[in-house]
Amino acid sequence: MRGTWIATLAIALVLVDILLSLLVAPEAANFRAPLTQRIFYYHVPSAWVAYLAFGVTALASGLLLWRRDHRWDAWALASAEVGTVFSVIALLTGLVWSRQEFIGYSPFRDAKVVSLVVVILSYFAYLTLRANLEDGDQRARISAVYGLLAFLGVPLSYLASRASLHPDFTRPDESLEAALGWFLLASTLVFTVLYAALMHARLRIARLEAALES
Amino acid sequence: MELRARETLVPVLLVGLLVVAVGLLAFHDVEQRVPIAAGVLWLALAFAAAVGMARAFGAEKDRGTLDVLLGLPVDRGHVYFGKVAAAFLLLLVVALVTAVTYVVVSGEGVSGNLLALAALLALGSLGLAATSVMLSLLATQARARDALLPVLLLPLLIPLLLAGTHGTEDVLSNAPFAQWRGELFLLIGYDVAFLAASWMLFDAAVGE
Amino acid sequence: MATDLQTFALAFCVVWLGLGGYLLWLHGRMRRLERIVQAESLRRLRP
Repeated sequence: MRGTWIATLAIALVLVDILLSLLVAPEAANFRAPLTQRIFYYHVPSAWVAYLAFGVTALASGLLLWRRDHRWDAWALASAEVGTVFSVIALLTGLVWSRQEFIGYSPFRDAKVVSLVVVILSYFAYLTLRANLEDGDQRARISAVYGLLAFLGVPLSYLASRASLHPDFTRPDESLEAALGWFLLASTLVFTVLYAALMHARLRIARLEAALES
Repeated sequence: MELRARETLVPVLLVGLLVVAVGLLAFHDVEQRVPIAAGVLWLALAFAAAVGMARAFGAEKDRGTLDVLLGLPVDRGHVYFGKVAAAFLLLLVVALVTAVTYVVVSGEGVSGNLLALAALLALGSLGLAATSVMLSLLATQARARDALLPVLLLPLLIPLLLAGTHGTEDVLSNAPFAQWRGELFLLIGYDVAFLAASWMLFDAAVGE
Repeated sequence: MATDLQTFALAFCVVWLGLGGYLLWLHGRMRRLERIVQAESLRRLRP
């Protein structure tokens, strides 16, 4: 990886984060599976980045169409690809953690799962759409339209699940201790920096590909 | 436009009836009839939309009539709404035929708040029409358009199908309004959101 | 039911092998593209 400062920073922060989450963060009380609970420090930030990335894709799509500036296309594509990685990780870790933690868990009745699945399906559809469009300008335009429409569907999915599904997954003690909250916040910041670093790399690739296409 | 709608009607109805047949066969000995009925009904609608819309815009692009339509001195938004209206009517027919066929063939009695059911189906059909017409416009400009439309459609349909099926279950079980009111409002919100967004994005979707 | 440790280990690997793998893939693509771009620009220098 090119020696960019953001890449170095990201890697350093990640290493610190792993150490913190494994060794320093206090054990959570009242959890059925305390070690697995530490997955939280990767799961929640991953989910955050997944949604952030989708927002960036939608924003870039909107800017592309509104300003008629196709340079935003690289941002939309890069964020979609990076976002897919984080959202799959978020889903898998979330399922692993939930199955351990909740008795009688059914992912189909969990609004957060449905919402994340919609995000993943949207990313997949977006990337498939792009793969089937050849002309660069047309591809940018059409995928931008889809990106915006798909983004609209995410809050609607969450609301639909909330209205329709009535899960009751609770632990004996609902609250997360304050101390853990700080580690979670720190982890979220680290993952955001990681997202920025991956975006930096992916954007460079997108620009190289665009240069070769012309 | 009416002629094309009639051309599309038969295959789309067949898709709906196929879903009913499979649903009845596969779940014939399942205890819970209401969720099955709800699921079959909405699946039929969803498949009908995916199959029907793929053909609608596809045919137009091939025949070049799309350019003629866009060349008309009419606000482009009207073209979109015209297509949505046609699709909406088509889906309403599918909903009606599917529901009636299901009741007749399964031999189960009809129960529940039928007016509410009609409202939910109408709102759902409108939402399906709005999204599938728009996405079909996007898909026809790409390769593999017939296979692409369902892929594009699925993530957008999840909220609609969730609200539709669960609302229908409640309504068929004569649940109080408070229980299915959330689903109703969601369908209304979904329709407004996607109709508005698609109308605003229609120009961009079609291109210069 | 897997043990706490097994579950955690699995999830941990999913996260970091996943991210690491993606990083490596990006790295590979970038190197390949840079080589192609370099070859292209050299090609254009020679008449």
